[in-house]
Amino acid sequence: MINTAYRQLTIALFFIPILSYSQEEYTLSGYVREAGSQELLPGVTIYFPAIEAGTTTNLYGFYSITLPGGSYDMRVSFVGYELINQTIDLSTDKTIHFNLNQANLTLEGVTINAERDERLSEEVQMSLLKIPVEQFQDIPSLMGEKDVLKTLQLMPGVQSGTEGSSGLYVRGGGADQNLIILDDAIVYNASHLFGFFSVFNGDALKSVELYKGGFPARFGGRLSSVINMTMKDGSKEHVQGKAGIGLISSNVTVEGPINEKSSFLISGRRTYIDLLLAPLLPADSKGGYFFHDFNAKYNYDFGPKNRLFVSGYFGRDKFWSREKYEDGDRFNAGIGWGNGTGTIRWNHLFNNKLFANTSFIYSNFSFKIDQEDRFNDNTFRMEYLSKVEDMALKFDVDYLPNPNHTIKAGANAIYHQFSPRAFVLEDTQTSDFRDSNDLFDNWELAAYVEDEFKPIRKLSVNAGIRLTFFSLDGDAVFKPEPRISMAYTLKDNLALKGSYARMNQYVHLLTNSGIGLPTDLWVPSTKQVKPESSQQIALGLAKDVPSRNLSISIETYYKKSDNVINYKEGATFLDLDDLENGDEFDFQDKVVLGEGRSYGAEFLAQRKFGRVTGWIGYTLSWTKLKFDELNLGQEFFAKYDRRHDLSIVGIYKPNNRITLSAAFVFGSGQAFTLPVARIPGYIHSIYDSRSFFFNDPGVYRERGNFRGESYHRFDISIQFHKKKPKGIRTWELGVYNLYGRKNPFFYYTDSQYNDGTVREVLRRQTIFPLLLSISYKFEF
Amino acid sequence: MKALLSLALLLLLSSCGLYTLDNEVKKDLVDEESRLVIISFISPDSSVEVQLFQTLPLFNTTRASGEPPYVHVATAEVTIDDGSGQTVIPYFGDEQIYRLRPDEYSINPGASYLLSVTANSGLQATAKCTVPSEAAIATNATYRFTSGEFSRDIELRFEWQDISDVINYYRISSQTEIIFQNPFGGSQDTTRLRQFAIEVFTDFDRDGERVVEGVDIPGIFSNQFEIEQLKVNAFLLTTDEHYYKYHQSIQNFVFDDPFAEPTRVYTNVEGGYGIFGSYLVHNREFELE
Repeated sequence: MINTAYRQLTIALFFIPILSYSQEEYTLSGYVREAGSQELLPGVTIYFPAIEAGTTTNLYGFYSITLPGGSYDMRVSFVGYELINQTIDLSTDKTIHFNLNQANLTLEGVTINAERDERLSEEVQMSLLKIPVEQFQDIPSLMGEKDVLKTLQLMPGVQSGTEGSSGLYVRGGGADQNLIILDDAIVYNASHLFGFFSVFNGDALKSVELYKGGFPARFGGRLSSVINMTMKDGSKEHVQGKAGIGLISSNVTVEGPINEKSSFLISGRRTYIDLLLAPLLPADSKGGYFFHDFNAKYNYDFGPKNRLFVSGYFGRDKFWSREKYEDGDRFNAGIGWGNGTGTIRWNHLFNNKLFANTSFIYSNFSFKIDQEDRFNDNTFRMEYLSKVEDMALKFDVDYLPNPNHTIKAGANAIYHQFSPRAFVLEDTQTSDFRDSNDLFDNWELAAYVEDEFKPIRKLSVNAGIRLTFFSLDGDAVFKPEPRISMAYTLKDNLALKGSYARMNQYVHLLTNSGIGLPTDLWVPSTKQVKPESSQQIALGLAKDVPSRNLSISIETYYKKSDNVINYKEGATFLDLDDLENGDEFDFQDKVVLGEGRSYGAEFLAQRKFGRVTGWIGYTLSWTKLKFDELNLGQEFFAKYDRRHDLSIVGIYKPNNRITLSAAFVFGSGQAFTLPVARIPGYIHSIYDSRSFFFNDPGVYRERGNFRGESYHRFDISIQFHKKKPKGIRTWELGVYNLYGRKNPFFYYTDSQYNDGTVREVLRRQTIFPLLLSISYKFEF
Repeated sequence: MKALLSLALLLLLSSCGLYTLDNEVKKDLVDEESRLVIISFISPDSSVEVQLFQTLPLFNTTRASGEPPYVHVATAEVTIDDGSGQTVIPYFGDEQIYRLRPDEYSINPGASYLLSVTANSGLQATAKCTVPSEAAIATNATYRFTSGEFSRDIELRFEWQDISDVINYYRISSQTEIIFQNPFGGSQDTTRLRQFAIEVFTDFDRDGERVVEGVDIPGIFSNQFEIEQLKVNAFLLTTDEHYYKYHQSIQNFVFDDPFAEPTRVYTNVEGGYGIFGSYLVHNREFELE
């Protein structure tokens, strides 16, 4: 008996090393770059068909996969780039870097031979929208200004606020519920010119992703979406660039190597409305409006294990007016606002399975109104400032132990300083001087871990948890946020997906208009104004049709939000006409908290690569809000509730000289509140028990009692490309709202007088009927 | 090149907002049938007075310029009921009001009343309110001038003990009689100032506590006027919830701002609009030399 056991043990011990040897695993890792420019490429798929295993490069182009030793055929693929097929013999840990050649149209001929291998059905992530940055340049745009956020508005589940606005309303969420990140820095106000243009310069961007749900645990801080943008690193091959001239602005981007270890990118844009108007103004009066933005990035490669990135963004809008009189009196006034961000990132490779990034981040947004009036040796000076400033430290690691697990973990700490309103008023004539500043300091901390793994062959899971902490009024709140996304492969190229995410938001935007006005105030959570939270579940199908480069998805979702914020009835951010009394403003007294529900279904058929690209997106949705203090506590449709939303976008490149594009947008009417009658607005007079007349307020029985007219328009553009000795020039002609649809910007009631009679009418304000645009671009 | 420049200029002009359009919307407008509007505030020792109106559809009515967008209702049966039976409130046409004098009908603290209206047109509306049981009594009242830029403002302040364990609603108001020397004419003028502020208060977060509240009355007389005599009749009202909510909604109402949050005028009238509210009043009179 003992002998038998001994024999079996001996045999076992003999075979264990052999078994171990046969299961010996090796790690293949490296970076994937664009050939030529050496730009690091995120999201590249590295796939091993024989074992149905693979991975993708992270945000910094790094990949790592650990496999049993052996010989493998592998594919390295990325949309818009030529496919690499390679056989590797994995008998030891290996580092292989790949350079992918761009496979877009070249001027020498049409070369569309890349395989579209990024398959929606193979990704565990759902509710993720990706648009190749090149497509942003091809899609028709308002006044020829290419706009990342407005292109995202054309996707299902994402709606615009009002006509021309770059605000995003994702799955019923508010404009403030989007986490907009540029190189790890939060951008608070993403709008130029009162929301008509976004602050992001597409020429400087490398990648743009929009998460509508199923949020990975590495993201947090907003309820409804994450828009993650990465700036280009700068070409390491040679100095190159682009310059463009449009109706509104001009821009220039230059990138290139500094030496073999470092490169840079600089990009700037400025409007010239003020310069065009200057000759038309009187000699003693100057004024105008402009916006500009500036992006810069520098990276330095310390070697195989360390890399440094320094990037920044600065943008500003300014309205200004100056008048000077002969007697020495003068009047200066201005309104200015803008963002600034700065990020220093250090990539460190601990080993071929463990990648780390540490970021130091600075971000601010400020809005300022100033006025100085000198008359008769008296000075009236008024200055109003609203500001939010962040400093953050962020640490993230990617750990890839084997093909079945991709673990991401990290922590970040943000120090917020909010100054919703700082106010200075000085009047030498009345000896009046006031100086007030509301300051809020808050810490927002978070730690997360997530693991993408395959419990069974057909099931992929990304499960994670994010722990969040926020300091408020000397106290603190702690909230865990569980997240999970799953994809089950039903058959080849078809997957069933589901996700659940809990989100918390500790900063709020007080907005009346929702159109991205700079007067919107960012404020922190307080004991009175509690953090917003939401839970979202989503279920969907993802289908790929590789033969047609087509991805199709259908998703349904249900989102419940708590403590969503809204102004009280009749409240506004701060009556600008009454700034002198503004020092009594306390935002906490102006808001109410309630709950929101949104649910719907989305359809997307997208073709990212080929001679014809574009997408068809359709959304059916409902968004409802409920506040105890609004609408008599009854639920009502949110202003931006839209039952149907359809976008059809097509880009056609018949040859290397022409790009044709068109976009059709349809959205059913939004919910407005209109009076149905007017009543005598009497208030009680104590003296004689009667009432005295105050005004004739309009009355309505419920909010959202009027569905606005449907919104639709058709835009087209044509680009003419031509190769010149020193580069490629492109002329673009565009037509926005081709058939001149008078879409509503807002509605208002008005009294119409005629022959001694009066009649109340509803009026629609339209701002963009048919608009033509022309622009010129030169790439060198 | 010239043609290109001309085209560019045309495009530029077309993009500079010249096409901003403003159009009347003629379809799908919200409409509803006429409703009655009741305005009535009742209190012990005061007449029961009811003002009655009928709304007109807002967007489909053409009226004479200068006429209000609603009409008085003179031919309706208006009754009040405290549970013991209905009493008809007669109409006084010259004042366009339905009225019962205190000697004809008593309003009692703590009692509930039902106001019913049936117009000849067939429109009906009802409203209920309960008079507060107990009036807040001021333990202190102050009245002082504050200096504004060009005129003197008046600050009225009451101090009282909140009645505990119930939600209380309050309003402060005043009537002021001022005798002053007009520096321009040299003659003595008498001006009666009524306090127009409509701030209302609750005891939210201060139930049973000592409450200090005040209102600022914007001055309507110049700093240059020399005041000779000042008489003040200050009122502290304890109101019901409807009174409070109605005035608060009127106070918050925003006109002509397309971006402001829509505001709603509170009503407790079933089948109509308006207010049937109640209050108790405590007043303090004082004279400043």
